[in-house]
Amino acid sequence: MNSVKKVLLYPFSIDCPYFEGYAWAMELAFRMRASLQLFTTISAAQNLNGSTDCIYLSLLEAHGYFLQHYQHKGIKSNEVKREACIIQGGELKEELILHLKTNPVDIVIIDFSISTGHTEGVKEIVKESCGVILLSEDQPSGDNKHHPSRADHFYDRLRRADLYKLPENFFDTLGNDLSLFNYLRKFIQRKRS
Amino acid sequence: MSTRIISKTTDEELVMSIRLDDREALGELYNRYYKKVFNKCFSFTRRQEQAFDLAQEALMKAFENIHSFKGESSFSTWLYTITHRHCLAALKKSSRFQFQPLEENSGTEEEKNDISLTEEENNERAEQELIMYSLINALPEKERDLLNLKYLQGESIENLKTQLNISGSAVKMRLKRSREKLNTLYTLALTYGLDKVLEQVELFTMS
Repeated sequence: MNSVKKVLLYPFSIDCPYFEGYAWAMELAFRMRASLQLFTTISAAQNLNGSTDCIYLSLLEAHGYFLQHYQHKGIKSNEVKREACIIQGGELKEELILHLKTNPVDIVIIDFSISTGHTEGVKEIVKESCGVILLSEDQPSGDNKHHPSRADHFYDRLRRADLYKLPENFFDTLGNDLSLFNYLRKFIQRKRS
Repeated sequence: MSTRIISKTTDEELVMSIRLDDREALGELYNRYYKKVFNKCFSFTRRQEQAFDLAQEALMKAFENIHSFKGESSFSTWLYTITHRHCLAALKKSSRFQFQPLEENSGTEEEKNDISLTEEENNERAEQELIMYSLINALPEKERDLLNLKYLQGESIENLKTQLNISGSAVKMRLKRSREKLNTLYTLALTYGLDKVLEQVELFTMS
């Protein structure tokens, strides 16, 4: 991995549940030492009604969710530079594709909630991206008993995700993280038993 | 802790639970304050994007260092102090509000002792500075830039005359009006509170 800081982009809509995907994207950004763009759209009418305020507040709430359910020892979320990118315009996917044409990022993380039933839309995003991770549906992990550890949960979701055009060194980068090794070890042990 | 019980728990009790790694307590305490922190940051910046950046940084600073909360004040006071200081530091850092450092060796030793401030006085001064910056920030762009150029960046009337392409007397008149407006706003802020003045600042700043 070269020394230039990677940029991840997480598109979201406050009309769909997105806190789980946000938390996963945050964790990935931390593990890759990347910055995270939080992309959404707002209509002109919503903007006049002060809905931008709602978006910023929703993002702060999402971060509270991350702190509560996902932040574990060793992860300092303040080390992840986050930037809200709120586009005044139309539909999320169309605006995202336009945005990616002029503002390329390293990886786009697409949540199940915004991709459902729009395979073509995802294909177009993949076409315009350097790399895409399409997250599969997930249950909220508020109850940690369902997950051996939070780090394992992160890798479980990665394993179940569809990966497109990811850079060759993507797994090398994550491989520097010991929790991956621990996850694989447990995974192999489970397979054996 | 169940959700029903946790909602009635005091902030300080939640902090104690967080120290015992109670994640639900952390979520509850965070949710009680993130909107207030955002609104506080917005009252300083008047820009949502900047307020969001400052709020998330201030919240992180507080929640990732919650173990340093000693309970000498209420949790809300502690959190708002962190937010205040974070906003102030950010405003000072931004190019618009560059300070002119005091000249070294100015004044006698006695004078220096006279101006050595207690912690309380320091806080008071920081508070006054914060009010002033927030008010300057809320002024119409032309007035804000003029005050910054003259008093924070130390530009001469001659330079301002050239930069603004107006006569010297016009520069002086604009400066006088901007100063008077700022003084009025400052007095109102001290009387009624900064938030209230900022809420209605447009009424005062209409030319």
